[in-house]
Amino acid sequence: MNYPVWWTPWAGGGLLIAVIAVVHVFVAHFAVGGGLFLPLLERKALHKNSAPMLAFVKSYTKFFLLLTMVFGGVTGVGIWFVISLVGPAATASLIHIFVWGWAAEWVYFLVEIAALLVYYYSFSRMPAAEHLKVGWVYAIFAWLSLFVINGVIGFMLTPGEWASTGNFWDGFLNPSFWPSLVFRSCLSYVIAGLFGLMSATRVQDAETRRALTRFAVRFVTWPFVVLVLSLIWYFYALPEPQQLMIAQKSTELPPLLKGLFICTPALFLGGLLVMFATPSQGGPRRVWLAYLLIGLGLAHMGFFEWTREAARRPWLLHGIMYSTSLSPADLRKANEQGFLKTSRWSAHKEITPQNRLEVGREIYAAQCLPCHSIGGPQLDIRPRVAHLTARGLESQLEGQGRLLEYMPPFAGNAQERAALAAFLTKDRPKNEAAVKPAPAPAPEIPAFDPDKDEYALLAWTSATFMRGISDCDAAFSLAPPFVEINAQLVKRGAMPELLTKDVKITYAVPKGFEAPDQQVRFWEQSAALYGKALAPNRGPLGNGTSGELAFKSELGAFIASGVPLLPYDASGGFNALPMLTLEARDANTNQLLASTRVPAAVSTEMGCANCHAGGFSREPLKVGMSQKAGLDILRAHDRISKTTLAAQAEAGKPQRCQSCHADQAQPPAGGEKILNLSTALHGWHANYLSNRGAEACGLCHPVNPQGASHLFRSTHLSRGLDCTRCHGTLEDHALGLLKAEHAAGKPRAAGLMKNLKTRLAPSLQTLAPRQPWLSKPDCNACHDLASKPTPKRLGVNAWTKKLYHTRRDDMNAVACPACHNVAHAEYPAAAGNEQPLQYQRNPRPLGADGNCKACHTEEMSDFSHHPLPTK
Amino acid sequence: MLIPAVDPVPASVIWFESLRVGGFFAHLLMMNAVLGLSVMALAMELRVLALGLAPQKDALHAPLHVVATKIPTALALAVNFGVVPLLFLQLVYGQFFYTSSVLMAWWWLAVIGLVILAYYGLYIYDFKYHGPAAAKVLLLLTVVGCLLLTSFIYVNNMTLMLDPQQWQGYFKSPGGTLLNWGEPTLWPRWLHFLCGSVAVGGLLFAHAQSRKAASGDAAAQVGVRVGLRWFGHATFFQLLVGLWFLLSLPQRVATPLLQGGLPLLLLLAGIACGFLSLLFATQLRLWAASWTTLATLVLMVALRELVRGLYLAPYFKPSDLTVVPQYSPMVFFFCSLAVGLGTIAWMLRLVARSAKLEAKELS
Repeated sequence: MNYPVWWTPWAGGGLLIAVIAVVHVFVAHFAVGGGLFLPLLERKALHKNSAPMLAFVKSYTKFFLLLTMVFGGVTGVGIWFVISLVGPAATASLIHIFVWGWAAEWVYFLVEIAALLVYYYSFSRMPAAEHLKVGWVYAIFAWLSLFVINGVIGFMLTPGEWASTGNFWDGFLNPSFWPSLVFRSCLSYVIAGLFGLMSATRVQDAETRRALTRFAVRFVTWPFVVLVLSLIWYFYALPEPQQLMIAQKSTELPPLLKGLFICTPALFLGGLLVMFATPSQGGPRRVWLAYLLIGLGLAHMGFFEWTREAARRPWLLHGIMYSTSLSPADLRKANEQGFLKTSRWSAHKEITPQNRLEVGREIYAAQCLPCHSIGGPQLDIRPRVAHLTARGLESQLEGQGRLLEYMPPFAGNAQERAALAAFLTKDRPKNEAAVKPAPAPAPEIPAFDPDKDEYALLAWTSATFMRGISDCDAAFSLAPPFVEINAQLVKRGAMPELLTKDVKITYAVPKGFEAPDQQVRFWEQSAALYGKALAPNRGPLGNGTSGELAFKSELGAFIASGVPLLPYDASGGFNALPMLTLEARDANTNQLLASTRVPAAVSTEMGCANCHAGGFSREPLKVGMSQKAGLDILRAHDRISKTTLAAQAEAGKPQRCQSCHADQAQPPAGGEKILNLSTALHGWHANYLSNRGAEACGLCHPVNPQGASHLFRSTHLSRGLDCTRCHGTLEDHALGLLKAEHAAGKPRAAGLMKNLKTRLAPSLQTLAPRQPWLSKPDCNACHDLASKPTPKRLGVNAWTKKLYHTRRDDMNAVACPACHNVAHAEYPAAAGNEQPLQYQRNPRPLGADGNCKACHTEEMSDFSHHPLPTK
Repeated sequence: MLIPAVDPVPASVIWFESLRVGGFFAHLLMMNAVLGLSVMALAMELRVLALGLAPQKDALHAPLHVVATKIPTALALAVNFGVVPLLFLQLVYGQFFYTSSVLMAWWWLAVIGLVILAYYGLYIYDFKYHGPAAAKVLLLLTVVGCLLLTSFIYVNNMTLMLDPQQWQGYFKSPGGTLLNWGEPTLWPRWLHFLCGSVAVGGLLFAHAQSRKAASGDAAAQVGVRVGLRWFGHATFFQLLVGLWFLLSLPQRVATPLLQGGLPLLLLLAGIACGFLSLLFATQLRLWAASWTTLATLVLMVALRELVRGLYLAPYFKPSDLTVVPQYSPMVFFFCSLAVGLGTIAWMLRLVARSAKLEAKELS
């Protein structure tokens, strides 16, 4: 912020420039085109010896003079005024780089004025041949003005070699100079033709009118072909980044291009229409049509100039100065030292609770106002940030410019981002702190007598609970409200035996959790989401809230998949660990063999609404996702990926994310070129939540220490380990996934990877590619089971070959989670230790410390399940 | 420090400063002509209206018509020559000028609208010269109002850019509505400019009539006398206003200005030329008054530059700028200038020739 910023929140910078620039540029092009129009028409009039036509030239010159010299001339200075007020730094650069060019342009402007005044005032007073020569002088110098300004405008979009050489001519004769010059020259003649038509249609004498109309129409139509070709040439002369900005990246451009594509042929056809609609004798004069064409010409000019400006995003001077008037060097400095400290015109150099909003306003003025108004017609910021919370905005600012490249990066540090986000959300209701859910009553632990009981029923639940359930089912579904229950039944003895047949193992959800369909709209939407309607409170395999587990030999365990369960109970309570009751009975006699309880980790604490506005479905607890938040997310998806998901959802056809994004956790897979779900989510968000530790994980997953679920509750937590020790940081995590997708030829992966750097993993080159849900952190990365793990060892970059929850012990009998519980909840956990407490009265893994009595009725000297760590 | 950092310039700053001052001089002349003649036209039209005269009966009707046809052209040239100092001011003093402009942005931007209004007003006045006096008075009131406001805004900006201490006002009022009320020279400086404009206007009014007056046209002879009278009165007031201006200069500027050397010499020479021009005007010696006025203007423009230098001395001098020379674009400019001036000279020759032919035909 080298210069002060003119605080005009309603107008913003862009509106003022747009208003003055579009009208000026239109008139200025007329001034150039008219330069050719006038002498050619005068020559024709002289050749035909037509007094009415000559009279027309004279009166047209008066109009021309009053419009171009007065309005055009002064608004031309006005552009200088307004750009120096809105973007003084860029203006200063353009003046310094092209001062001699500007000076030459002044000379041409001077000759232009002199020639026009002489031409007008010497009509009928100067010999015709000489008068005509003065007209040609005007035409030449007016075009020379265009020649110079074209170089400067082109430089802003395509500086070419100037960036490395600093040479005037490299900047002036830049890559888009010639196509732009041809295009603008043609456009000038078209506009002169339009104004000519407007004046010609007003002529009373029909024959003169017809001759003039035909002459003017030629000015509109003849340059048209070259104009279209030069527009194509212009596009292909642009370097790739600018081409991509026009063709793909900008969300601002599609309507502008549409406008340009409509206006361009409409001008041509309109010109022809005027000609054919103007009768040779008498009849109605198409004055209104000519005026309409002038309006069309103005719109065409507006669309073109705006497109050119938008193609330059996020730069004012491409590659040299961002639209925030900061150079890349300024940006680096501001990121290192803070924006306030490096900004000359910041009133505050430190942020305090008292000045936070004012600092936010200052930063807004410097970094947003150049393009975005507040409540004004020009790129109003309010609807553009309405879909994000203050926290979401902070993240948005952090990743700004990385993926949506039409925005410049934010310059400054985290506190400054927060201050700006606070300013942008200052009028919203205060964000209340989450209410903690009422603690669930301590479960009654089923009795177990190691001396008498013959059976031990070991149970564990879903391994995928870390993915929260999306309860905005009328918007979309990311994870349905189902859990998986697993169990192994041990017949105790000196040589315990795993029972796999002739037993029946049943489950039941706790009281109050039997009707999840009353809590969410999933079953109502199941037909749209899954292609078939599910019976209320039933899963896709038919399982209900109570039922029977089936034995799966490949896993050596009894399993019930797709069991409907939500953390919401009928009384409105929230419990992320609702306690399942399992019973094992003799299949023939129905005699109860064993019973147990195990918590089913289940949460709707997805956290999307932490950043995406719209709110949580259970607002006080800040869990779940409201329909509004769901739709807002879809709108963001639609805007970025050009989908129509929000409209589909609103029409009653919500989609599963997995409909397009492949997901090993939930087949079937989506499109071949589309990133899989985990990669898309992590890859995208890593760009906005970088340089964080485990708190980044807690923003989306139910592991936030301040959250309602606390589903990361394992022994690792109590030992001070967090998510990053096994998964790496979000960047590491995302890059592993992206690398695999990139290798698989998914085109989107490279863009998401571009701005990410590994942090805990050594480098991208050495980072092992990952498949979601298949390549997970491997326990063996830290645990060789024979010794205690090294304290600082990282699990990052050592992914599983076989998933932990499908593994069994060295005897290929007992499943790892049966004794240790599933990942993220390993015993002794912060909560949900009912199993070990039932069987061994302590929360440690079953069998820990030589405590084999859960299954073995005799003391054991050997440990055959796996090696034990040495003490 | 609030003063922004600056980019290097592509040639020795002397080139830019010379062009800037030269351009400013031409701009000043044209501005003075437009404002001075507009004020005079308003006064004359008011007089006609107040006396209830039929316009055609007024002795100044014909002389004023001659002038009315020329003011828009003067404004066209004023705008054009204004581009030169505006360009080089941005180059050399941009860090001051952009800043002060932003601080008073709404006012500064209003200049564009005001000038367009005045411009069209003057053309309407020219084209409808024979219309009703009341309408013309209303029109000229608008024109003069716009021009006076424009000049006041300019005086504010040109002084605000010289005083970074005043820029602190931005932090209380960042909306671009500041004016430089704290500047002690604000009013005398503006009046100084106004008096100068009216004086130059008076001289030009007289010149516009001089050829006809020489050929015995009575109305034109009245016009010459009236023009010189306006010049005399304005210059007399100018001497008083000039003194006020001088006394209002801040100490840090006034002291070095008055302690001798070139600034004092320029000041005294300027005052002397002013007195001389006044004397010549009372003797109805139009050309002598004009040449001495021109000399006064040259001296005062030079003095103005020195005063600007003294204002900015604690912060900046143009020789501080880094020069990274590139001469080929400079050659391009001077070639353009030569061709441009040659073309204008050629066109003026055509005009002169056709005027001669016209005169011959008439005779």
